[in-house]
Amino acid sequence: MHESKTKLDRLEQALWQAQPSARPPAPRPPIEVWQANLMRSVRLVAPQRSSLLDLPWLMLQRATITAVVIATLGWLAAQILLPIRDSDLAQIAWTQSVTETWNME
Amino acid sequence: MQADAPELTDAELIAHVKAGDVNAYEPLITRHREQVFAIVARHVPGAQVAELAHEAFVRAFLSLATYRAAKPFAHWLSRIALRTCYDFWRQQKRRPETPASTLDEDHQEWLEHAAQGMARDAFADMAAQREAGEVLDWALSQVSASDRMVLTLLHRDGHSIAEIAGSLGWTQTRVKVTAFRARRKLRGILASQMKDNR
Repeated sequence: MHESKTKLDRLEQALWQAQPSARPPAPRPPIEVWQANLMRSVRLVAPQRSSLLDLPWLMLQRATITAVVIATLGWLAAQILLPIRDSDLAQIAWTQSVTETWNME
Repeated sequence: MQADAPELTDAELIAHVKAGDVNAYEPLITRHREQVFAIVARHVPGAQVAELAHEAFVRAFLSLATYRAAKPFAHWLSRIALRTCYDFWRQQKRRPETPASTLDEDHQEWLEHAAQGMARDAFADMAAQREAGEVLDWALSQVSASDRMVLTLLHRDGHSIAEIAGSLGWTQTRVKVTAFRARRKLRGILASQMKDNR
């Protein structure tokens, strides 16, 4: 038991001395080609700068979208809540009329 | 902006990039590419180094808005390079078709030598050194991406717990717990391999 533990300790110690440089190096593309490709990727992902002329238009677009979303949500809420209120009122009226009828009887 | 701008500091170049001058990023690449290549080469197979170094620089570019000049750019970039390697191993683990490396007779012989404490024999020549690297690759391919990163940073590269926590964006407790469990797992893998070898 102790011997196998010692073996394991030695093996582990030796393993961490293994350097990645001991592995055969992989062929690397010429650094200029690699960098040119990288800059191409960077230009592709770079956000396009909006000019000063674009800015008010973008702000107007945002404001319009926000207004449309709020109006739609408001309309939907009204569609859901108002019929319930109407039906509640109808229910109350019906209950009252039934109660009155019973009282009269 | 000229590609070669040695008079500008990293912070000045970053300010140019943030202002929308994409070309100002090129001198930053030129300045730091060797450092990024060195970090990536220590953590992923040789064939993936160029691709992942590329990815690390693209990620850094996309995250430049979050960079604060309080720490050196090189330090910030090395964290991104390490995270890129970590994500590479996480993706590799998710791919079921990735073949697990196997050990042949030469590797088994190296294991025996190393276990007997014959360190000089175990690293005697280039072939033995290559076998050592391959055995390490094999052992690490059996553990998770987080275990691999913590083990290599701690035991092979000699980083401190605090440094690893900073590099991976983890808490020190998480690094300690992961390191403890990963080491136990690795020893289990080596023990079963030695048992099979008998």
